Amino acid sequence: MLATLIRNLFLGAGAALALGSLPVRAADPGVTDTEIVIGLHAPLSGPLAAFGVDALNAAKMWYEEVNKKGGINGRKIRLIVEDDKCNPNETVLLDKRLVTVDKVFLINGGSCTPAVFAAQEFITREKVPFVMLNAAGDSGVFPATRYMFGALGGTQRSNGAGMVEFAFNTLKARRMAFIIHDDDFGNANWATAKAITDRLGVQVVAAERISPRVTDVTAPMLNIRAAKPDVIISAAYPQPAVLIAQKYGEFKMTAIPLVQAVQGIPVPAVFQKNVANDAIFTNFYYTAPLNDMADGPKQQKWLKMYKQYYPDRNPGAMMAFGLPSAMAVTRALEKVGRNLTREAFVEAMESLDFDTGAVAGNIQFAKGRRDGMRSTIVVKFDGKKHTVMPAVYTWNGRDGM
Amino acid sequence: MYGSPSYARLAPLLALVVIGIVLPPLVPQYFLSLGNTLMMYAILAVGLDLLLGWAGQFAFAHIAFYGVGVYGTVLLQSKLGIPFIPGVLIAAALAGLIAFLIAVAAIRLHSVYLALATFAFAESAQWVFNSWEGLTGGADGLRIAPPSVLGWTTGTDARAFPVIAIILALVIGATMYLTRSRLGRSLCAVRDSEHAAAVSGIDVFRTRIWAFVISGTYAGVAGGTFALFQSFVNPEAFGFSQIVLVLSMVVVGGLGTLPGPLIGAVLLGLLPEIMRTAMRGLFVWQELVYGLILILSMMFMPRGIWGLIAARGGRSK
Repeated sequence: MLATLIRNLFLGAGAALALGSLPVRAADPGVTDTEIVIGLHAPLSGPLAAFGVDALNAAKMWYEEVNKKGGINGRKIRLIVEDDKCNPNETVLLDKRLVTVDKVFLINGGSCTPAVFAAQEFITREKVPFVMLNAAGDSGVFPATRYMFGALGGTQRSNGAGMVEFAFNTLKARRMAFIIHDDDFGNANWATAKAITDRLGVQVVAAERISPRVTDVTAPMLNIRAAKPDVIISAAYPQPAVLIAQKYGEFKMTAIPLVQAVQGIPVPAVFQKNVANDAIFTNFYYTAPLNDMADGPKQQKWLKMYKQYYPDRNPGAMMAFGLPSAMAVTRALEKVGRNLTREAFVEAMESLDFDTGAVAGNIQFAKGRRDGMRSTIVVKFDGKKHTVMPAVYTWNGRDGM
Repeated sequence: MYGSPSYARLAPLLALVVIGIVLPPLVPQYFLSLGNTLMMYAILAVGLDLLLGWAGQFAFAHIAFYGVGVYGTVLLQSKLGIPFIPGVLIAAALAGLIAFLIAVAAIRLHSVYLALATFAFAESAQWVFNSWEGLTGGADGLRIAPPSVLGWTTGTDARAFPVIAIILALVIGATMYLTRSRLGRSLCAVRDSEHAAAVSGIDVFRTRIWAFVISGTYAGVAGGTFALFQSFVNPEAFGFSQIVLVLSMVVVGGLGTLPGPLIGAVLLGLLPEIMRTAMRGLFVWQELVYGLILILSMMFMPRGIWGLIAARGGRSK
């Protein structure tokens, strides 16, 4: 009896040792002994492709660099790249395919807030980590949900905060005028800007809400001119931003500083060409959540790398926005080690705090915090030269919430 | 062609319900989600065809009625706690009522003028969805809680699939009876010649209004099905591109036929996914491909795919 017990104990221990020495097998889909499958998507066609193509290429480039160096903990990354067109319904359908048919381990995707927000319920139900590519993603990260991480290029809240803080501290503006879209982007931007102006005791002399599809901004710009502000803050998209700048010049308002949010000026040279009036650059500033101008010295490393991978393509300012999310993913994967599960990955993401060398502030997540970056810089553009203003503006995480 | 449809014609509807019940455990969620989307578009396209193909009214407000159906069903549930079945019926009735008001206002308009007036209404409706933030969530969108259908909670594609299959079968069945009824004949008569219809004793005014109301109600029902399998809605879903998509489904499939819009919904609904998987290089040209399909259909298949099939097979509607 005792001999049988001892023999069984030894057999059990032997079996446990043998099993322990086998290669680690992860239970979650998308992970094998040799690879990790990641779904990568962005708008690659349609009117919003400018936000997605270079950012997605940059993320792809980062993953390929990691693979060149041997992968992560012995596993190579395999990407499944898709076009989401920034369309919420198409994005949800696409994510369902990536998760249930392609069996990806995680999704790194999305350049538009409504699209990623639409996917949130599905990825939460399926418990699949989702790291936004370059979407501001305010509604996807506030309130925080376990599996969705985002805003690695800053939220619209941090963007709005940066513009107001800059206008208040550097331009000494006390009467501010805003021209902001009436969509989710604009709502998030305006919520923060309004909260900060209230806190600072700044007078909002005009707050013009315009459609993203607006074709004429004469009326809102005349209202702003009549309000005699110290500064005009625009959070418009590229086409409306051009219209605003044209009216700003036409109505001889150039003595008043114009601060344009980054989303309206993805490629400054194109913006300048479209405005076709260099007089507007007398007092012109734009924000950027990068650590430098898009072609500044600190960005050269990434620009060179991009040229090696995509020699035929001139990257827009959105290129560098694709890097932080891929960097965050690879860092978290490294942290987890060989026993890779989705839950362990989420916990590793929550412990990240690192400098990307690409964006204005550290990427930082925590339990209950899913917006990755809160800083922005401001660049003065005089029509010839871009000059980075000295301060970095960091949103406190409370204003506008 | 007239009178009650035969059992042989109704049998595929039973097959649709059986497939709806049997399929969910067997296929991945993605395919079920795709199937739900196609069935929703099928209801939308059949409804638009009643107005456009059967009654000959060139109107573009359909997508607005669909929006009323979506927001109506979702808000009745979330704000008033009204369950899905009465919710979707009320929302569809509301869509039908708004369609009635539009029809009365636009009854003297024809062709391009009717198209412009109804298009303006669709744009206004999208503006309302976008601007009425307190109710619709505005541009930020609205989270949809999983509806319960007689105690069967949907919210996932697998659970929504049988419910939508049953709704589609009911809609197709109702359309079979409708198009074979006296009203169905009146719709065709008004489409072919309002003057001839009027001298034949048909009340053209009333027939046109019925076409709008029934079509709007169908769109409202389609909106209700959206709430069964989607978890988020924002006004982008009711824009011009959606109008063009549903119109393309009807035209490419075959105007004024029942199989036509069903074929169109399946083909044009599947097209983006086929392009995404099998013709990856072409996916970025999706809108251009839609346009080409529409132009080529109008040039070479003015009666749509079903028209071509029917002509070759010598079949009637």
